[in-house]
Amino acid sequence: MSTTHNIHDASNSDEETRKIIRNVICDDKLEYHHKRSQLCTVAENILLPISTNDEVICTLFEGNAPYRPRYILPDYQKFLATGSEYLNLPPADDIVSAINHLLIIYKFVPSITSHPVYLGNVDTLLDQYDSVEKISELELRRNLRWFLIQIDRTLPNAFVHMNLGPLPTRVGRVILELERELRHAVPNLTLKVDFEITNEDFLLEAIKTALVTNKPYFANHQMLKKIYKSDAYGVASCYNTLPIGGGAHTLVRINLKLLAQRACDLSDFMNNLLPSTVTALAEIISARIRFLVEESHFFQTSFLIREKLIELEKFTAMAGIFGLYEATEILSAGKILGKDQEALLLAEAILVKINKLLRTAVPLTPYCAITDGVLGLHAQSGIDNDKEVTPGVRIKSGAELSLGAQIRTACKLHSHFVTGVSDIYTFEPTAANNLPAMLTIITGALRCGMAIMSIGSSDSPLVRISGYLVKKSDLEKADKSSLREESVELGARFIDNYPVSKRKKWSER
Amino acid sequence: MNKQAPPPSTKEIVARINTIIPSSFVDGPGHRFVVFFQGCNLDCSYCHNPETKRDVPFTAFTVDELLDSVVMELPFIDGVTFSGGECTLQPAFIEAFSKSLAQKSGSSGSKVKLILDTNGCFNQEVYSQLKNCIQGFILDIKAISATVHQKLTGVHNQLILDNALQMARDGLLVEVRTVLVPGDNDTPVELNSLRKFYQQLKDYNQGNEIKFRLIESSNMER
Repeated sequence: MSTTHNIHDASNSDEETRKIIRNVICDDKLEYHHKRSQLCTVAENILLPISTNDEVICTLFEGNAPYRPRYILPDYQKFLATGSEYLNLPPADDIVSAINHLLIIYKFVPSITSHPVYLGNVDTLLDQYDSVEKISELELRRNLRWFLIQIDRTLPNAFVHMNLGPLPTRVGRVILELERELRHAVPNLTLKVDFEITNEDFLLEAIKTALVTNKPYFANHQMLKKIYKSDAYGVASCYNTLPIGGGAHTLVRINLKLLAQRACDLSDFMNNLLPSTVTALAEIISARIRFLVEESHFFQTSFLIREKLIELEKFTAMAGIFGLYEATEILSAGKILGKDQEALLLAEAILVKINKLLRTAVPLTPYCAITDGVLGLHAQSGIDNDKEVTPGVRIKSGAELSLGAQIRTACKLHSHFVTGVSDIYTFEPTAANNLPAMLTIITGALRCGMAIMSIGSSDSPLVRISGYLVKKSDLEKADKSSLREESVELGARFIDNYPVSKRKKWSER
Repeated sequence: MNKQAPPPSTKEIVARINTIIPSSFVDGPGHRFVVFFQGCNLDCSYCHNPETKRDVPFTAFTVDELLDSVVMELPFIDGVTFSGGECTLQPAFIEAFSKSLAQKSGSSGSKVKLILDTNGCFNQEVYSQLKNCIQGFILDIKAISATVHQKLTGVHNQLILDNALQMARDGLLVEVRTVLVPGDNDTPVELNSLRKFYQQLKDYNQGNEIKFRLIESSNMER
């Protein structure tokens, strides 16, 4: 694995900072673009952090001085319809120009990773041209194949995320077929599922793809569109549910396991620690947003704003939590989430309390108009240096019970989240021979209230880390050389600390 | 006046169960909850679940207890498969469970189906008892020749073949499979007889298309 430099510490002396910069520049494993990215981070982190010293609250290495929103979901429909003065592009007028328009603008959409975390509801975007033009299936496949290859090669980061559905289209079907052939980790993929709109054939095509590539996610469209009272939401990066034309300024998270370990008892946790920690979280988030909007002037300088492809009013910010599994166990003297009803009730009570604190106890956050100034609760799915703490609100790997118990537990917990929550299910390879079985499971889970469901097969060449995908073959190479996708290294470190391989393989005998 | 004893309740009827697998892709159509019953009336030399052949050990489940486990999975399964061992050795349990399952799954809006994975070795009385309370049979046909069957299982097969035809006539045959045992039931003569019998089942069939499977004994899915 390539060298990790200490690029996140503002307390470094000038001499130390010079040394770090030199070490990055002269690193004998990092490639040019990795070095450039790390140098940006070093520069940003010379400034004093808008952060906290309390390790319960984690700013996810976003950087000390935010100068672009964490997640941006441009209104690509508007872009295709009107073109862009900044990019010197007229409106797209056929599917080839639409594909190229998208590939051009993707390079100009910032995010925390520097790559776009949202590529649009691509099948719907392209279908408006495909349904008129009626180009041959062969020609469509060729265009979409190169579109996907371009995305994989030029945006090499597994947090780059494409959405499909809920309407079945030829473009959507062909993308799913191509994904099975190409087996790329990039882009991450979500299929929005609405049983009123998405037909069984389209769902089965997606299931078939998921059992080869571990993607797409299956997103509960009926449930998610209620959050922003609109169809205009997207699933970005891992599984962040955010408004199109906006996004999330920042994501800061609370380690519930650590907080529970500090509590004298349940009452201390609920009535003292949780309120003070949520308040501290909200203060950090507000300060970071204020810096981003008022001092970095992103929302004045970006062409995305000038051309109204994003609007400040459509942004929110994300209050993350993780380690609910362990927190519940600690606070209930050993009751197990997924197994004991008391643990589930306690887990829900914690989420209800956090949501109530976000709504009523902390000052409304400026510049989060789309959620009425309230931070959107998010089940953060872990980062590479988390140790012995379960992502989001998931059941601990290796501690899963029956499929039904796991799905029911997830569904109860998912209803409390605004800006994203998901659960991962890995199946034995026999699932690929029985697609109707998978259809029953997914249909049951979404109808039961699962927000976002990841399914996959244990023999897939790709492995889902927290929310993103990594090729198993790349993980083996990560030790030896610098790879095109920066996310592979994150995945390799994540797996070192969290036993992804212990995830239950459903139907295993 | 003679008072008839009330029928046993679902809290009292007990099954001898070896294993429960709440999630299976290989025991019938769709996603299934599978229960392996303890005890068998054949003694197949190649049995893949030999631990279920004996009468012990087992876990006793009442109808209500088993139903509680199934209910947790209801929205996520297409059906329940009773396998074994030989599940039809416990017909009273099957009948009671089937009624309770129909009530539960009906009230939950799902249409969960009960299928029996059986060797077909049961009498007419048991068949009559079962045929109206289940949605289908997965039938293992070990051999067509009585001699080969006797050698492989220790039992004559006329009853099994008669039941197979009856299941087809009643539209209850979901799947028929034969595990090929080298040198015994994979001879040209035996395979030809098997092919003819499969065709007979197709001709008799009054239900959905029957799935036929020949399985190498070294390559069984469980």
